[in-house]
Amino acid sequence: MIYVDLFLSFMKIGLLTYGGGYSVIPLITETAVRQKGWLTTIEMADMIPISEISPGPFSLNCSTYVGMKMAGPFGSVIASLGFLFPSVVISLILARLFTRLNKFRSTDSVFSALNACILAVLLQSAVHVFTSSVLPGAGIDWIALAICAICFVVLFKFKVSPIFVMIGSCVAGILIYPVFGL
Amino acid sequence: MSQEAKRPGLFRLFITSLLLSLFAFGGGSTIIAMAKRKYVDDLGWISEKEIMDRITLAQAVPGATTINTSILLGYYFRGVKGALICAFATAIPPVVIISAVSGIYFVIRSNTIVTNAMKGMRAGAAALVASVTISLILSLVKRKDWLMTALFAIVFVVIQFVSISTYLILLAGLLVGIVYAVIMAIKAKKGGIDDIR
Repeated sequence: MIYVDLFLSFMKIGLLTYGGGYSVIPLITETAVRQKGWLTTIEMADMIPISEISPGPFSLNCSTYVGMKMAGPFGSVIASLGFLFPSVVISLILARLFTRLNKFRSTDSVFSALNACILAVLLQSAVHVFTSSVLPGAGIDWIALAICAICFVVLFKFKVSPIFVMIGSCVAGILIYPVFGL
Repeated sequence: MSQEAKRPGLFRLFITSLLLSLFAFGGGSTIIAMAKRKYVDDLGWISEKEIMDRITLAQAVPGATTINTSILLGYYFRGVKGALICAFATAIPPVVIISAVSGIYFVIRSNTIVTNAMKGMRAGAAALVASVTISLILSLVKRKDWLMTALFAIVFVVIQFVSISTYLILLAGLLVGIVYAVIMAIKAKKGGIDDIR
């Protein structure tokens, strides 16, 4: 049955995806294209931009896309549930363990080092997100730079909701780009 | 600060994570930045340190890091129920939108309004991620924890030149953290402070 097959395949993919994001692509290619023949290479190539323009995590979007192609909306739900299953189980186990460990002061010391390392990773992805927006191809996208700068100032000066910032920058993009004939 | 008083209702938690996920364009760091802004600065449901611990912990779980972060935050807020609610609330917008978009992708791909909206949102996401990252770095520096500030700087410089998986970075952090914890625990014991809170 296709639903059971989808669930189990994506459960496996969810378990093997480390570091999130693009690391899911080779796993889906292996399973959905080579082993199962669910997708053609062209459909697989479409998966990447579609998952990128949709909100939410890239790897989950890919799972949803394959499920959708294979068995419609219900298939997309099943593939996503399969992908999420290992995350939920392992996260809950870690959360329990962390609550116990948090009774010790030493846990704070260990996490201060771990957090410093992850902050470095976060800074790198901040640089990446910034350059892919402001320096998309050749040359600077001045409008993106302006929107980014204004949002940045607003975020620092005011206690504004991040959702409001995203809606505002969306509207700004729609309104400002046509003014400059882009 | 009493944690009980700030415990959000399950419905409120569901709506908040749903909205965060719906507007999180441009990859994993966007939703993490949005969660920090919303939960720490806006709603005050969790402290900066507590959320940072969970963002770090989420990196160690397979699957989508953002989903793992919301599961861990949900667990912090409301236990297992909260974790499940956050997982589903984060997953619903992408599942619905992908199902809709995959059919009409080739129509909207060349639509200028859509591409301009995407460009705008990418710029907004860049500002969000930058502001949250900078505020986290500032509070690390303000704590005058020079050892950890140095560790942060070293890791950042190293990953500019060598591509290392997040797991190896976590492993390195764990080793440094354990050594640091042992030293701190010995110091504390001399001062007569017990390791159990």
